[in-house]
Amino acid sequence: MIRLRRASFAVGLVPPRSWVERASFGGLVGVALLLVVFSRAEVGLIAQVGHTVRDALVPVMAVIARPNAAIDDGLDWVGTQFALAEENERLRAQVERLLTWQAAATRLEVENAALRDVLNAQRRQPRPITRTARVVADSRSPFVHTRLIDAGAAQEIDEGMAALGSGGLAGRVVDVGRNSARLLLLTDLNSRVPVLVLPARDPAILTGDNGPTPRLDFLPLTPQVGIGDRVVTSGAAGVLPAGIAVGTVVKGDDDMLRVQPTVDWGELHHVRLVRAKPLEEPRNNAADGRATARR
Amino acid sequence: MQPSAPDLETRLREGLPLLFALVLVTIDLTPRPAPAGGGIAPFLTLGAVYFWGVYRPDLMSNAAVFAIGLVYDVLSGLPLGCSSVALLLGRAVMVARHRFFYAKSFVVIWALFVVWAPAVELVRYAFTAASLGVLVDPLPLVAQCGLTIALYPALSWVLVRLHEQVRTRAYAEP
Repeated sequence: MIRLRRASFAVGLVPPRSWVERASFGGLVGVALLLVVFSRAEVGLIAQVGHTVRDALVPVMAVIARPNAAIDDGLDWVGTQFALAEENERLRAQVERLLTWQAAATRLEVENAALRDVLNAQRRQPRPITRTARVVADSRSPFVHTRLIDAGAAQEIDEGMAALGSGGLAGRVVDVGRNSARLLLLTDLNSRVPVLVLPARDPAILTGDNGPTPRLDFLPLTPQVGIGDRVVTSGAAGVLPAGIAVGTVVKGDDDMLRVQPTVDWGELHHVRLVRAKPLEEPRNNAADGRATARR
Repeated sequence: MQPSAPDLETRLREGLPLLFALVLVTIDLTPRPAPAGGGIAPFLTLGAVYFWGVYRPDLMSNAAVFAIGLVYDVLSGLPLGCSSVALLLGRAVMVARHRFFYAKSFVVIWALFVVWAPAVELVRYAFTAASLGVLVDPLPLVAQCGLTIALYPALSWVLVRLHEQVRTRAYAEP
């Protein structure tokens, strides 16, 4: 049982009626209430102060998060040691399956290139821009499903970049500071991701509702969606690259079509941030023509 | 005027409760293997604010509590000010009733924490819900509160050791 020495605690007690206590309490509650009101209004100064505090604390968070990740990895390692033979067998089967897929992919790539040559079609999309960052803080709230990462504008992180974890899309970047940024997870109430349901290629919007399985909204009038269908990003709006694995279709308790994300939330220690290369500005042919004529 | 060396040390020691509470904020928000919502984790910072509010409110001033709440909101992505308001109100209750806590056994202090912690969480929930304009299932918060209450004795043990470090210089002199 914990014993607290009474004499030691009696010394520093502040009289509750002291005017300093009252004034500071009233003033600070007032400031806090103003912050509650204005933080939703996205006042630039408040956001700037928030970014500065966050940038200053992110290195500390990164140090504290490191042993946690190491312990998690260690526990995983111990777990795998017990099931080594079984894991080996599973991986062998997986390699065999993937080799078949690799052969099919290579054949399709060659065929695709040949067809593009025949049609004189545009070459495939340029490689997306990618960065890697460490997840240093968790929102720990049922209100917001976000993560804080230790990379920001200084590391060329932009708003809207897709965040990929182990298994697929985890979310996207929404708030960028100098050395930190916030990820909005797929499951957050404010998350909206344009997706395609395969193989029918039905377009939809994946809408988070703070539950574990986001909803499929805005499906076509006659959707051909089935339980277990794969869901990938559609690339609509040109921010997220197309074709990133998102999850599989499941039926929710509310009978709505929902998506079970494929990302492994438990392994979200690092994220890969991806952005579709921005489309080039269309060239102004008329202006070019005038410039040529002048020359 | 520059403070003399012992004064500086005293001030640094008196800053330990705030510093430790900020460390607890970072521990509270450290990512752990959990579902997207963050799973269930204790809110140890709440325990620290209660402890100092009961025993030594002078070492955890209103300004310190406000700063702790603000840092928590900044790092967690909650609307700024929600945690600060809840923690300030919680501390005010402790300070207003501080005579009651004098010479009470740990079990009584712990029993009061069982009432105080959910009340502060309720205030935080109300302010966050009002700010975001959305109501969410409060069950994760109930579980978080239960875990915080269960871990309070262990946290108290650490904080008592910390208090001995604060006291050594500040109050040992005649």
